[in-house]
Amino acid sequence: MENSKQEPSNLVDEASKKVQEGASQLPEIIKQVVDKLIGKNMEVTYDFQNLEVDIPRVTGPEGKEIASAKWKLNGKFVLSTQLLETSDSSDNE
Amino acid sequence: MNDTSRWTQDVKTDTLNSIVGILKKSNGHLNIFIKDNPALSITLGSNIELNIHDAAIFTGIGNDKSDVSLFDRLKTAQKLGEILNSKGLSISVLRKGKKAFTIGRDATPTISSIITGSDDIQIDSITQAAKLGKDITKKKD
Repeated sequence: MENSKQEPSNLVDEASKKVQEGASQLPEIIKQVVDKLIGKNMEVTYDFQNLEVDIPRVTGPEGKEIASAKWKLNGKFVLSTQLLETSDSSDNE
Repeated sequence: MNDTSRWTQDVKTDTLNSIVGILKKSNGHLNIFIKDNPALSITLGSNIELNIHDAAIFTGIGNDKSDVSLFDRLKTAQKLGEILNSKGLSISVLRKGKKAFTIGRDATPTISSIITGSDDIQIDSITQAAKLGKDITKKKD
């Protein structure tokens, strides 16, 4: 077996390469989840139950403190999207 | 690692740090339904619970060309595990209400650290984690 003869350092390099590749995929995965949640022909309900998000103070240029915020979300909203085909859509593509 | 990729890595780490910082000070629940069916529940508090009711939300997401398993993906969550641990926070991922794995402070080094390669990621149930991996990688018909 070729693989079993692989140098340990090569294995470590390969593993760290895999970890880096995976980490670089993270923003793409988040983007795809968001795309899916607001995608076409979807009906997604977001039900917030006393959700409080504390946005920390932002430090701007020259160390100036800009602002902080506390978002309180309570309630439900439904986001539905529909894919419409228009007669001239084929002309445009 | 060259300067550009090191800088990109630093930005990603800073972003993760900021997100984890925000999550730590947040609390409450968010339930997401797709066509009236529960898909995902997020509970924020001293610990974060991510309950995946319907893995369809994640189906087909990621690099389609690779056949990377959930366990391989968990290895890539090492950095997240470290950051969560340093901030005293943990995320539990549940499949249909049953705990599959935990990342961060509450993860205890067990035999699963051999699989995940990290002391900050604990597989609570190999069965649930494997089922979750299967649900996510399952392709649409």
